[in-house]
Amino acid sequence: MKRHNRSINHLNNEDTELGTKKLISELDKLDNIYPVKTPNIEWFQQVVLVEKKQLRRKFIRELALFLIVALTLLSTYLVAFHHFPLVVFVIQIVLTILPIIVLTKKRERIADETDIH
Amino acid sequence: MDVSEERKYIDRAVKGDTYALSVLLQAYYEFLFKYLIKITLNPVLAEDLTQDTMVRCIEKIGTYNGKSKFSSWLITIGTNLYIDYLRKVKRENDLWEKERAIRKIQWQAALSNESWLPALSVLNQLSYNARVPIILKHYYGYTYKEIAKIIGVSEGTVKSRVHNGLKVIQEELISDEEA
Repeated sequence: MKRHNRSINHLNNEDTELGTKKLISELDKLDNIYPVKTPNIEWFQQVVLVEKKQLRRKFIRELALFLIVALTLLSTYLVAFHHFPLVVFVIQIVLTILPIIVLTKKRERIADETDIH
Repeated sequence: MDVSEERKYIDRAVKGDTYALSVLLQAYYEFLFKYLIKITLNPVLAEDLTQDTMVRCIEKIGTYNGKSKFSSWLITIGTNLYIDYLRKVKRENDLWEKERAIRKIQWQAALSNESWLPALSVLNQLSYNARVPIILKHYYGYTYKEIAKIIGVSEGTVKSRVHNGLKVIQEELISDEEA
């Protein structure tokens, strides 16, 4: 954007108001330059119906995917629990305790940094 | 369409009535396109975004709670889709693309017997961060608080962007006049 010698700090409210008026007037002209042709109601109904149909399909697809993943995880867990109960038990304990340890360490680090500053 | 009639259509549309939603979309189609052409200054992009906004509206109509005006809700969706578009294609700083779009508008203005539109050329050079709040504030008359909610930034940020943006516009207009 080009610069010129008049500093923007020297602009008064009147200048800004004139600029705003000019901008509004030109934005109005934009409406005249590009007149809008609104389609009829049947077209909008068709768009809504098609979109709703696609949304429904998407929902069913996502639900099916969710159920497949959930059932796979559940069955894997049950099989593992049936054959190696001790391993599953240890993994569960580790997964419960690990985030607590990480969170505590993080808090301690933040507290140390705050003390330093 | 008066306010009470619109309210009825909105209630029916939220409950899943296809016809009511179609009536609302038809009623706001022009409003939406005119808003989007002002913020994008690109007729082709404005048309695409108008249709994308309608699709998003069909998808989300069930979540509309009536706290804001239906028009403001559409403006929020349209603005967010425009911001998403800019992030995706990273064209905001692509001066060539912006220049091309404004040249088309100036050309179309000449064909419609309108004079050169210098303020729009300057507006086009501003980033969308300033352009959108200026239009919402000074053309549509939204408050700073409402604009902050629409574009998802603080009220202070909106005030500063509008103020600085207008200063730049005025500075450039004076510069053009002097030249």
